[in-house]
Order: sequence, then C-alpha cells, then structure tokens
Amino acid sequence: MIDPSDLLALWTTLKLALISTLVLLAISVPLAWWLATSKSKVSSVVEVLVALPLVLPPTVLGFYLLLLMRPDSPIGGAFYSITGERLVFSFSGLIVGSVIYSLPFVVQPIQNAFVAIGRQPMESAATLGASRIDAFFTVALPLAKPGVFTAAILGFAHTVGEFGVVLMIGGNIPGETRVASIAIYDHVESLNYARAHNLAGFLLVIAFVLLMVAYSGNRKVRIWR
Amino acid sequence: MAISRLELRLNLKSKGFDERICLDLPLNGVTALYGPSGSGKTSILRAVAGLDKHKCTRINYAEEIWQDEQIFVPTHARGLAYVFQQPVLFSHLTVEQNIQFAVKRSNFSAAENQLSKDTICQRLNISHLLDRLPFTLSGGESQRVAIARALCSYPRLLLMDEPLSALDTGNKAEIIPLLEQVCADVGVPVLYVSHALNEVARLSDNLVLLEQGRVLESGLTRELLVELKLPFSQQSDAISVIDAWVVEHEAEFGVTLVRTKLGDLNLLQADHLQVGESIKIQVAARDVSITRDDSNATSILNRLRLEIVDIGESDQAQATVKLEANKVALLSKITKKSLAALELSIGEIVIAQIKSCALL
Repeated sequence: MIDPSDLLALWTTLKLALISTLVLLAISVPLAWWLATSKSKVSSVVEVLVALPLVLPPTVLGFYLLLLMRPDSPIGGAFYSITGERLVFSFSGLIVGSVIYSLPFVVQPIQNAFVAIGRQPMESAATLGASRIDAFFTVALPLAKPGVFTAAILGFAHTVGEFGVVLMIGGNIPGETRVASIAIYDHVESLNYARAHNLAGFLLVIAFVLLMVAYSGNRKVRIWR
Repeated sequence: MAISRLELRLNLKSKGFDERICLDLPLNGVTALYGPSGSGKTSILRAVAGLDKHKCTRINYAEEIWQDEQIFVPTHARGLAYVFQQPVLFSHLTVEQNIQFAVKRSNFSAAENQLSKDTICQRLNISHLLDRLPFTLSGGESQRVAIARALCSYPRLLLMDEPLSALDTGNKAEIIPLLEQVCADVGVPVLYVSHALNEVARLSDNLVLLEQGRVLESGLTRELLVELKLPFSQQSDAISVIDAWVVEHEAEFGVTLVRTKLGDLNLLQADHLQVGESIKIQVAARDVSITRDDSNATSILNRLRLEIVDIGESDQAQATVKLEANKVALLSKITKKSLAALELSIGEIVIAQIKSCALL
C-alpha cells in the first residue's frame, strides 16, 4: 500500500524523531532544572532563547541554521574537520535542527514539573542527609516523571511534524534527509494525491496515538495523586 | 562531662530585622523557640539547618563550625534532621521507603542506646502504615511519619518547626505524648519552634523567648514560665510546671497523692502511675486562689502554705501573684479587687488553694 520510497521517508522520520528526542531529553533535563532553580539574570535570557523557536517561523530558524552550518562557517567548518561530514543536507544536520526547533516543547514541561515540586521536597531531602545531586536523582526527577514523559512525547511528535527547518537545512535526499513531511509536499506538488493521502494518514494516526498516550498517561498520574 | 553547646550568632537582616541574635544553647533535652509569628523563630531554625545562608553568621555545633566567614557546611553534611510545619513526605515513595531514605543516608549509625527503626515506628504508631503511599495518609499520620523519618536518620540535632500546628486538636493530643516520650528516649537534642504555650510547657526543658527578631530572654522553661516580667505569666492561660513524686494511690477516693517541693498535692485520674515515679505536673494560674483562712473548712483538697514573692498586673481587672516555697514557684491569677480586699503584699505567707492540677 505504501510505496518503498515513502516507507524509507517514514523510517527516516521516525529515526530522526527518536534520536532527536533522546538528545533533547539529555539536554533538557539539566537545562530545565537550572532554569527552574536559578535566580540569575542569565537564566531569564536563556529562558527566552529556548522559547524563541515557538514564535519564529521555521524558515527563519532554518535560514540562520543554514548559515551557521555551512562548511565555510566556523561551526559547520569545525564539524567538517572533525567528522569529515557536512552538517547541511545531512542527517546529523537534521538532528541539530530538530533539537533546536523542538527544545521549548521539551524544556518547558520539564521546567514546569520542577517548579511545581517546589523547594520543600529538596530541602527535606537535604535535611535527611541527601546531597543536591543525590536528591536530584532520588527526589526531584522521580517527582517530575509525568512532566518528563509529556516532554518526551511532545518532542517526538513535534519532530515528526517538522517541515520548514528540514526544507531549509536538509533538502530532499532519500534515506538521508527526505522525511515524511517533505515527501508529502513532493507528492502534492506533483499532484500525486493518493500517495500523499497514504503518508498523511499515517502521520495523522501517529500524532493521535502519541497524544493519546501522553494525555492518558498524565491523567493516570493526576488521578493517582 | 560538660554538656556541649550550640552557639549561634545570627544576622537575619534580610527579613527586615536589624538585630543580631546571639544564643548559646545547651545540646541536651528540648529547647523551645517561642514567640509570636514574625518573631524570627523559623528563620533561626532554617539558618541552623543551612537552608538559608545569611551573612555575618556563625554557627558552632559542639566546637564544630557549621558556618562562619569562610566555612559553610551544606545542610546534608550537618547531621541534623528537620520536621517542617507541613509534613513533607516524598509522594513517590511508600512510608517504608520514606523512612529507608533517611536510614540509608545516615552517617551517624545508631548507637547502642538509640532506638531501632522498628521501635521508632512502633512508638510513633505508624508500623501499620509502612506499605501506604503518603497521599493516603491523614494529616496526623503524615506528621507522625515525618517525625519517625527524621528520627531514623539518627540526627545529632533535631529541628522541629511547629510540627503540630497543622493538626487538629484531636491529632495534637494524640501526638504530644508520643513526641515527648520519643524525644526523651532517643536522647537527641531538639530545637522546637512553637507559639503554643502548653506545648512549650509540656515538651521543653529550655526556652528562648523571641520578639521581632530579638531574644528577650532565655533560660529554663519552668523558671521563665513563672517570671512576672515576661509575657507568659501575663497571658490568661499562664501555667506553672512543678516536679513531683508519686507517694500513694488512694483507691477509695480515686485520687493519687504526690509530693512536691511546695507540699503534697492530690491528683485525679493518675492511677496508672507507679508509686515512686517522678512526674511533672502543670497548674493553671487561674485555678489557683488565695486565702488567709487556714481552717480546713473547704472542699478544695490542695491547699499549700506559700510565700508571696512578687505581684504583677496582667490586665485591667486581674493580677498575677507569684508564690514560692523551697525555691519552687506557683502562679496565681486573682482579681485586683480581691488583691485589694485581702491587702496582700510581698513577703506574706498565705494559703494557696488549687482547684485542679494536671499531669503533664
């Protein structure tokens, strides 16, 4: 029913979303903790920077990323000299783009969860002999689990649905940067509505299922509490 | 062996207080920090715990510096435990796991004379709750678990910030005796913040009276309670605390005879006490009346011959009279009208009639 080239695009999309989500979680958990607990002025600037992708058109973000990641730019050049790989029009570049683009969707739920815990459980842990790092892993993180769960699902779903940034920095290389949303755009451009339908339907189902899981998961936690 | 001490030099400027607090507290028994809300009680406790870091502060725990200009020992390394006003249990852990959290992190393993985890749970009556999650517990149960958890970290200092204030009267009445017993048995020095006079009278050995971030007075609880210059004696619920020994039970009348330095007293509902047991009794100042009539023609059992050592005003109509024998004091609240009618004056010997006294 689904054409092999479309299947490849779907596979690329899921691979990208999965890896991006893992990278996002690794960055966002400590970042969100810092944003939730820091009183410094720097943290409020960082908070705005993290939220920027929420309001910027993806093409604007993609445009700047393209400039930054080009082999003749410092960042793109450094990446090229280390890995021998270009960042633009590559899968690695897409991961960088997706991580930046989805960052607010992952940081904010985790940050909110940390804020909601308040300082009391951490203080209580400290008075029972737990160091800050110990209390973070044994108290704060477990208490924020629903927020981390929501964040992971949102990050994944948002990366699956990404289009503008991919178009700017990834292009349309099958197996490398041709993701499902780009494939759909192609099919519509060439008036191939049947194949567009198949892919679009598939993405719709994925999105629905993911959100369903996120909402019901959190609901269980809410009721349970 | 000299009792080690906790020395505090605090500067709580950040809370709008401009006073430096200097305290030198004995590290034994229960020391109450008493004062109205906003008097800086909780700030002191948080500073001692290292939860708040103030400038120009020096905290010396038994010759171990916890904070000064250079040093700041973080909370988790101070070997203390803290019971908050609202019980703060870890909601993702069961009661048992909450307690294990403390046991695992205790650097100071239970000395031989200390109670085991199981005994502490039994004493605080939470053994049947171990498998429950915190959200299924009542307020009183949660606070009992929080207290047990604090004790199970085998702290060198236990800080309690109005641990009973969030509880209703019934829960309070249930916890106070448990708390009293367990504090005595564990042998941990306790700093206890409270603004309830009866809790302080009952639980504390030493007392620090605070007002607006200043230390008004500190000393032995039973002495400060009856000091007419201090606000305790002026309150309508002023009390005296007296040491006593059980002499005998008069089963026929349902009373128990106890001996104090003031004289012998009859206690009701005290037949569970052992003869010879040493107890503390509490006498409300308003239950003590004064007479010059020393005939025994009265229904009041407890009559003591005492000397008037001080007379103070408590409000428009009432006066507080401090009575004494063998250096033990008893407060009496009488109306100013009676004071004038009886022409009472300092140095006189009178008869104090005690309507009721309660076991502490």
